[in-house]
Amino acid sequence: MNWTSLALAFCGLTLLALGMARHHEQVFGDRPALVRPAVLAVFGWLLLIVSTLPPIARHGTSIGLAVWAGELTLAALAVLLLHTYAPRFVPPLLAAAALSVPAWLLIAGWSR
Amino acid sequence: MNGLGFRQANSWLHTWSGLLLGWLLYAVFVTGALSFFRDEISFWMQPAQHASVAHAEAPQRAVDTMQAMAPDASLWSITLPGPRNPTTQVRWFEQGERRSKFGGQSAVLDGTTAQPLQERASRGGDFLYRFHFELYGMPRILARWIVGIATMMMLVAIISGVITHKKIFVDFFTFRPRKGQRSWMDVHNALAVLALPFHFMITYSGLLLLMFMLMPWGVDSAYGGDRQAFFSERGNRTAASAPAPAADKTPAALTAIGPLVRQAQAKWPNGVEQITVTDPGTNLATVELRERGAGSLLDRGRSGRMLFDGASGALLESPEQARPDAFSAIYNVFSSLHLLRFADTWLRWLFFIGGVLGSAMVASGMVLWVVKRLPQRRKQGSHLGHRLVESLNVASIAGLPIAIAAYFWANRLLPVPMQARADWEINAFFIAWLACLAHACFRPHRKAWKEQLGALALLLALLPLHDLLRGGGSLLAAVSHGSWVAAGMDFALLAFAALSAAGVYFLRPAQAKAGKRAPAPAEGIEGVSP
Amino acid sequence: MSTKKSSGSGAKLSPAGHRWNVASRTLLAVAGGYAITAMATASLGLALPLPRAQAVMAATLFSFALYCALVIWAYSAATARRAWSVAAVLAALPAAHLAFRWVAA
Repeated sequence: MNWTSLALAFCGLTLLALGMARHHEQVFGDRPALVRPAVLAVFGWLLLIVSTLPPIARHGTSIGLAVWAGELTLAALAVLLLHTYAPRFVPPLLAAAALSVPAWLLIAGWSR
Repeated sequence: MNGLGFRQANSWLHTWSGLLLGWLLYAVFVTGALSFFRDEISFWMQPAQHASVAHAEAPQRAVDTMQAMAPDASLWSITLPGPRNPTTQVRWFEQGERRSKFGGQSAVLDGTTAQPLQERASRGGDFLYRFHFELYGMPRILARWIVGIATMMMLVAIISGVITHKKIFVDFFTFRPRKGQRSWMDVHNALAVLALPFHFMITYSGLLLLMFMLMPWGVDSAYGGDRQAFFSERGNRTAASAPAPAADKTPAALTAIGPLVRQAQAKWPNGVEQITVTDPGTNLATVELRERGAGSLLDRGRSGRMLFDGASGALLESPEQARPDAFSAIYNVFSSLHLLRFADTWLRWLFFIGGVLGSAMVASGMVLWVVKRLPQRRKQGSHLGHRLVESLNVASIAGLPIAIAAYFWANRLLPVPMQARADWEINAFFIAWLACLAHACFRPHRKAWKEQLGALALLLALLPLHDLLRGGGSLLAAVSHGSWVAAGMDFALLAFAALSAAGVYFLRPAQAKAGKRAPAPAEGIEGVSP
Repeated sequence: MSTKKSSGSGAKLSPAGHRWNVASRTLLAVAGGYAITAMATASLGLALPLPRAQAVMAATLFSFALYCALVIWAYSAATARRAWSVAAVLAALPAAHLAFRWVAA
């Protein structure tokens, strides 16, 4: 399992969700959006694309993409359940997931 | 149908293509998901082998055991312990015996001592695997046609479902609980859309795996009915090497296997999966090592090979495999993804989850059909068609897992020396399934659900407990030996038991749910809401 | 509301008319769709400008997508008559090609 691709997919999908009015309201209530939805969408897609790189690097293109698609499903499930049952936790978990990526890379690089 | 818009017509098509064979598609999905773990399930169903642990010297010790058991064999096939099975599995063919995939004689050896282990007569995970596309108790071709037709209907259901789903992007992360029919629709949509690439891939690749049976007209027309010509033209068969002169077979000691394996492990990150020795104990012996894992899906995940001279241990040149053409590559990618022979543990679990989500998608669709028609039922009274769907829903969605649990229980409880033991494990499966059907027909709908889900939770949860009480217990074995195959199975059993128990909890009476808020009037007593 | 069997796209069908409509479209989807797909696969396998084995592979790989599209067409067309007419046109091309090859053989 590669943590970075899961975390990146989770962040990307969360940004895409927050770019939608319904989910933005779930998390932030009536407060106006700080960042424009279009910007969130762009960064969301960017993170999704980047999340394909770790599995491809590890397994090669064809198997890597299969692994990525499976991890995307898991991340999407997590985003859906989070927004439905615990929307308050979305911002902190998003931040934690984002920070975990460089942290993991550091640790993994250190132990090599 | 006239006068309906494009989306509405596809909505009708989606309902019927999904509903008519939904119970069969659910069974195909469930057994398919389990088939990803076919080796692991087969291992779990051989408790006498659970103490086996892999050892670095396994290759040489296995060869020594083969030397003692079958010194004059024409071929030894040794599958080394790996992440899916910690035993050494061996197969051998006598001189002159035809070599086929399931022929010859076989045995299971301990991963460390290479001594033969007891095997109880059981079809293991292979029963579920075969059921997935050949069902049971009927001619193979007929069964494949039935499954093929169901798969085609699944493809139509997927495509018509996507066409019907107007707000597929906006609703991507949407789930609105406690809203009756709306919630079931959200569940069905989420399960479908979140794993849509998987569902489409597994369905289309399933059709491709049966394509020469379902759609042979291309081959037949272009080759005038000569299918063998097509398969050899397509097969990229490398030219057969000139046969060695038969006369000069003299006895010669087999080279030590250990150094050969170490040579291969230096090249291959995942190690050696299999050793094949031909004509052992002669000067014509060869040793072929096969790599564990796979390179690319384009050539069906073909793994590396190394061929050695059996007497001297010298590395021989392996002929280059031709690259597949573009269309064979497409077929290879799809079929490899479906069969998943090559995958490592993580990818296997990801695809298993996809299969579980797919099963739940089919199940939620069938439940949604019933829930949608409840207001109509209450007004117009019961209708035989509705009652039939209700009973089939319970009998397939809850009943099939109960039947699988019965199969596992039979594996544990039937005496080992019993006659036709493997057949009786399978009989237990069908007897349990029929009992669930009868139960579902005679019990009121909601009670049928609660009772079967409750029974399922108990049956699954008690299996690991039974093993523990019998002195087994995979968790202990895992922690002490580091063998996680059986433990993974036990964790899965407990997880699905918990899911079933959660289902019973959701079905608790509406009054109990009214603690915080009044139940939505549309639900009524019969209404079920996640 | 019309009570006679009608194939006009605006008029509502009687229950019997509706059943005939569904039966007709189903026959087209199941049997007609398979027949057209079979002929198209055979025809493409011969006609595609590829080595024989690859042409056959390409045609067969694609056939299930074609069949799926035909099923959806059978039920989505505005009227059953329209569904059958278009299907007949789609069937004509591979049928003609195969008939020509058979006669020429």
